[in-house]
Amino acid sequence: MTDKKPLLANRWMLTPIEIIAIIVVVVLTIGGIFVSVQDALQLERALNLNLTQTIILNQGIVNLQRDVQLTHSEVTRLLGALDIPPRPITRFVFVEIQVKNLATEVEAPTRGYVFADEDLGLVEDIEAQSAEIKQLINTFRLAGTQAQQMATLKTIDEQLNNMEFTIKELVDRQAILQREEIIQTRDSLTASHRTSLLAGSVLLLMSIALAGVFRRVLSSRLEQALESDRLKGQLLANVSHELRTPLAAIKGYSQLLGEEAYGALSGEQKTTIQRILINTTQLQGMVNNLLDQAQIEQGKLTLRNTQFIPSDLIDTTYSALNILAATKGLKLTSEIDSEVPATLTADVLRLQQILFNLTSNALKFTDAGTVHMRIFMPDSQHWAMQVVDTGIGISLEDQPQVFAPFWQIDSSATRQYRGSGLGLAIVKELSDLMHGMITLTSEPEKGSIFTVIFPVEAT
Amino acid sequence: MTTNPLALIIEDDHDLSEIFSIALRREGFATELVRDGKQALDRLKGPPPAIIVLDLHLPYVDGATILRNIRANAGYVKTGVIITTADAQTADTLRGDADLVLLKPVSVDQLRELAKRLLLR
Repeated sequence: MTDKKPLLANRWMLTPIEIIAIIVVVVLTIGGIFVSVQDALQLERALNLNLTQTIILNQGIVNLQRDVQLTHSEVTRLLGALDIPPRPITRFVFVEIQVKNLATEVEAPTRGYVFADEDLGLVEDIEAQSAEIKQLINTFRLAGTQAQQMATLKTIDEQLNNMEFTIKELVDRQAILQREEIIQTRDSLTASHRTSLLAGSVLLLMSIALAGVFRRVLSSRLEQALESDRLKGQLLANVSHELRTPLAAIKGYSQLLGEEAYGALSGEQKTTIQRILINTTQLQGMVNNLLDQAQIEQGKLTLRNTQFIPSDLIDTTYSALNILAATKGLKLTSEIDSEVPATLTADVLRLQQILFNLTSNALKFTDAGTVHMRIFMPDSQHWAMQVVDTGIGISLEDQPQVFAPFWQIDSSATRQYRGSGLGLAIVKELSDLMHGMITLTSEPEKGSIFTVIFPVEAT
Repeated sequence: MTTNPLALIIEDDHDLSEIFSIALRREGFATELVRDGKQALDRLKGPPPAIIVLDLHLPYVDGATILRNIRANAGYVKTGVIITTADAQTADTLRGDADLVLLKPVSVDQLRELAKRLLLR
C-alpha cells in the first residue's frame, strides 16, 4: 500500500479499517483533547504514512488514554505491537492532572501522554512539574480560606505556564530531530520508523493541547474567583457602612436623650433609654464581629500599628460596657500595673475589639460579682490584657472549644445565653494575627480568666 | 468671656452631624457644620478651627483628600483631626495622618473625651 488515501474515502462502502479510523478521530475530537487532526494529517503526509499505520497509531493513543494504569512494560509491549523499534521512542511519560474539584462544571481531560526520546532530558522536567501541580491541587483542596485558595490557584497557573513552556521546547527539539532524521534518511526510513516518529509528535501535540485546556480552565476559574472576591469585598464595604451609620445615629441620639440634652426625663424614661443603649451596644458588638469575621475569611484584615496610651483601651471598653454591667448589678473595674509603659505600639482598633469581646463575654456569663479588666507586664518583653470574671466558668472539656467559630456553651433552643458564637473566635483570630498568645483559666461556678499576651515590640 | 474653641464637623449624614454638634456644644465647643467635600475644601481657606471631626464618605470630594489638604495647610498645624468612619479598611490606611480614628458607631462619650484631649495638647 504505497498509495496515499484520504482518511475519509468518498465511497459507498468503508473498509473495517476506515471505520475504525473514523471512530478514532471522532473519539479524539469528542474527547476534547486536542488533537489537531489537521496536524496529524500533515505529519502523515510529510512522513508518507499509509492509512493502516495512521490507524494503528491513533488506536494506540486511544488505548493509552483509556488505560491510566499502563506500566512501562505495557507501553513497550504496545510499541512492539505497533512495530515501533525500541530506540527512537524509549521513554514514556505519564502526565496526570486532576482538575475535577477546581473546575466544578467543566470536567477537563485529566491525563496526557508524552513519548520522547531518551536524549530529551526535558521529560524529567515535565514529570517533576506535573507532580508539583498535583501537589498544588491538593493544597488548593485543603486550603481553608478563599485567600489561600487564590494564592494556590495563582501558583498552579504559574506552574502550568512553566510546563507548557517545557513541553513546547521538547516539541521543538523533537521536531528538529525528526527533520534531520527525515532529511538524512528520507529514502531509507522504514514505515515503522515513520510511525514511531509520528507517534512522538502526535502525543506531544496532545500534551500541548492538554496544558492549554488546563490553563484555560484554571484561568477562567481564577478570573471568576477574582471577580467574586472583588464583589464580596465591595458588598462588605457597603454593608459595613449601611449597618454602622444608622447604629451610630441611634446610639448618639439615645445618649443625648439620656443626658437630658433635650429636656428633663422621668425615671422611667431614663431607664428605657438605658435599655435602648444596652441593646444598641450589643448590636454594635455583633455587627463588628460579623464584619470582622468576613474580613478575616477574605484575608483582608490588615494590621496598622500606631502608638497608643494603654488606659485608652480600658476607657473605651468601660464607656461602652459599663451601662450593661450596671444594669446587671455587676461591678466593672479596671487596673493598669505601674510597670506598663506610658505608650505601647500595636493595632489599637483590634486591641479595643479584643478587650470589648472578652469583657462583654465576661459580662454575659456573670450574674453576680465583678468583671475586672487589667493591663500588666508578664515580663519585660511582653504586655498583657486580662479579663477576670466571677461568672459561671467553663468546664475543662469545654475549654478547648471556646475559641472555635460559632461554638456556644449551650446551643439549645432554650438556651439562657444568646449570641453569635463569634466573639471569642475573633479574639483568637485577631490575637494570632497580632502575634499574641491567649490563655484561659477557668473553674465552673467560680469564674474565668482570659489573658492575651503580646510582644512589646509589635511586629 | 473667652471664645469657645471651634469644632468643625465635616459630615454628610444629617443625624450624625447633629449628634456630634450637640454633644460637642454641651462640652463647651462652638460648632460649625459642613455637609460635603467641596464645601469642606472651601472652608479650609478660612481660619483654622481647634478640632475637625471628619467623615470619610463625603459627596464630591472624599475625606482622605480633605485630610491631605488639612495636613498640607500650614495654618492648620495645630488643628486636631478626628476621623469618623464606618469602613475599617479605609480607616486603616489613614491612621497615620489623622490624630484619632473612630470607627462608627462613634460613642458620644468617646468623641467628647477625645475632643477635649486634642484641645489640651
